[in-house]
Amino acid sequence: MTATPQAPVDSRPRKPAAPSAKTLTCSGCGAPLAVRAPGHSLSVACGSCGAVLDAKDPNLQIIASFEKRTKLKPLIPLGTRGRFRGQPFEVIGFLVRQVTIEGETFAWSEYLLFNPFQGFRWLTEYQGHWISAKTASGIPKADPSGGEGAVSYLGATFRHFQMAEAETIYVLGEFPWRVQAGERVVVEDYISPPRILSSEVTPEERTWSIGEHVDGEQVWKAFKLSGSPPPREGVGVAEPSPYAPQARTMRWLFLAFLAAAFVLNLLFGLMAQNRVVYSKQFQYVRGQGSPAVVTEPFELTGRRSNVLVEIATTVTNQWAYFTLALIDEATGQALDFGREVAFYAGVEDGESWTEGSRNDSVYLSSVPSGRYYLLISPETDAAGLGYTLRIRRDVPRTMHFFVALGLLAILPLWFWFRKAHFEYRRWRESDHPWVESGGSDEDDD
Amino acid sequence: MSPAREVACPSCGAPVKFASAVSLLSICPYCSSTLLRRDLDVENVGKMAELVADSSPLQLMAEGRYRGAYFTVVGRIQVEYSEGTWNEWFILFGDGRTGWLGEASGSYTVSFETPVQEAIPPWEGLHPGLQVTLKGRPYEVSDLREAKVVGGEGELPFRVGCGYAARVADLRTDSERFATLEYSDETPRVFLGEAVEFGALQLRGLRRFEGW
Amino acid sequence: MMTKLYAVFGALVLLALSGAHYAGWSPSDATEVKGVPKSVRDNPGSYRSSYGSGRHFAGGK
Repeated sequence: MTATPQAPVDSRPRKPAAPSAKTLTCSGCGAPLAVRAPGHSLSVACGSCGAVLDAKDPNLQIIASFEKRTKLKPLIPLGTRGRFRGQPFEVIGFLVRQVTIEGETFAWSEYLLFNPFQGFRWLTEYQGHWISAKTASGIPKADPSGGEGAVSYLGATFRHFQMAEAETIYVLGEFPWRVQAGERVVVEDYISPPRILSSEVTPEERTWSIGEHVDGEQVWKAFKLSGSPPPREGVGVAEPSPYAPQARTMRWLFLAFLAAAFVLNLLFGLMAQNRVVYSKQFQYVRGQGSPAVVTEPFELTGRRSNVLVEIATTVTNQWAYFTLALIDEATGQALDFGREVAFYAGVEDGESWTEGSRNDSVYLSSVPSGRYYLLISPETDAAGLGYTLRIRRDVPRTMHFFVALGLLAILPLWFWFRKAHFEYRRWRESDHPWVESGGSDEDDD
Repeated sequence: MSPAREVACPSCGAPVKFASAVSLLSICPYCSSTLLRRDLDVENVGKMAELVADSSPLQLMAEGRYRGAYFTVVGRIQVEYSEGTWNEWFILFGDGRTGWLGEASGSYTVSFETPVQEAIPPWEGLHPGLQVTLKGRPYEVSDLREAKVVGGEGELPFRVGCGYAARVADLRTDSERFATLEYSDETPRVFLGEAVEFGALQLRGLRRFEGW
Repeated sequence: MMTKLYAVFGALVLLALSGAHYAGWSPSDATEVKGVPKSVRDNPGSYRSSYGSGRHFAGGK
């Protein structure tokens, strides 16, 4: 088990010296150019004259040249070092690429980061949204379960976001490939926020990179930049939804509350007395004495609970109004209320119609136990009136459940609306914007 | 498994190591003589070509870990292609296993030569996108390269012909698993492995870069 | 944040639901009146309800 040798005494005569940063002179304009990743860089782009030099060529031949244009200043200056994801990286290259979609051009910046041990990373910025990316070591494969054009990679499903032809319009610094002016590649983005997969297709090859959303503040902190990062506009392509991490809990809470409300309702329903304490038919003929009557006393038992008063009449094309009072025989406390029934029916244009109802019912709230009687004083436009009065004690109320359901749903509905709206804003920028008619195929979590 | 062995270079007399039992060659670090291991002694089969100065952070005798097992870098093959060079470092594990640590511009792979039951398509039949099954698992051809072997150093499990064209096919999956098919000999060699993060390798004894 | 708010709110709703069930609460527009004399039982016509009388439905289609 001792095949692991000890650290060698350093006596390696053939070892070439490790390369370090050096300076070149631009063959185009004579400006000094730094080479920060010698041995890796194949092209060096001069910011002053737009020339791109072959970094491997001792004569530094110009291999491409970009139109001299208003200098685009990288937000992170070349040569800046920062700790990114725990590792030191140096900004060695900067390029601006643009796509044209329906006549509109959109430009974004890409920063090339280098570490001699870790290799290269990309930091891209579009409208204040940053993504850190690196070359993917595998090839994503088609995954129809994620919708049209979706792919899966490292166990996650990435949905197709956008395809566009990107043109490089500005380069500065050095790159590990041969930069060509006006180089066009077809870029396709697939997202599984906060991660994003991008493929770039040139006539020769297709390369994949995997990236992740980074906050601008994080970038500023990592590179110790002064000022503040550019403000964000809209929703970033890979920006994690602030709602997504809460969606599962939200749904779970909603279902739990719903179940609890249902069980509460069921339990109280089972516990309720739901007992008829009084039922009697009355006949009232207009003109024969006072219409007001009182019932025999009846007993309301148990804790405070509701009382249901039901009146069934026989009115047709007539109305009846009842002035009622539930009176506690012992204390003289009363609950006054009025109810009305009206029922109309007829035939018009060969169609029969009805309106209103012959019956009425009303709940009295939280009535204490005791011995009660009801006072009834009817009025009607009919000559006479027959009515049945029924009083029930402690009737289960399903209404409570529905009210609770409504209250419990307000916040989740608002939450799901916000969440959907966030995704709507993200996808608005894509090849697959959500259509007006709620074409949301977005998953809840 | 025979223990590590040290011989005197027949050309210059310097001590040359054979740390792994499977090493067939060892290149003298002083005079670049390529020593072929035989039963009792070594045969000098000629000078190894100079390597191209590159920016690899690895070097011989560097140490690291892969899936918990310690390894030592005992040899390398340097390969040149249109965009630069890459290295295949021959690594020896504590238990005598050997493997390859591929390294190109900061991306790292660890692979092992693995015999497979499946028929390997000929070089001419390969194209990017082709699905190939190896050891029962699917791979997709991603990259075909005709590269030139620049040379080697340290010890190696086979003879390295300098300057000859190596035909290498990279096969990938939708995970970190990958495979390499190498068509230098009559029968293609199959290497199965995976991409590994630099940090996960816990490498020590690396080259130093000024300022880093 | 949102979920915490909802957890508290939901718990309050459930509490209110239990309370409403337990107390037999119902939305009601009955008016409480005190001190109804015992004589009302013998002469119901003398009761002056706060709802009075006289609403008039002139309905029909």
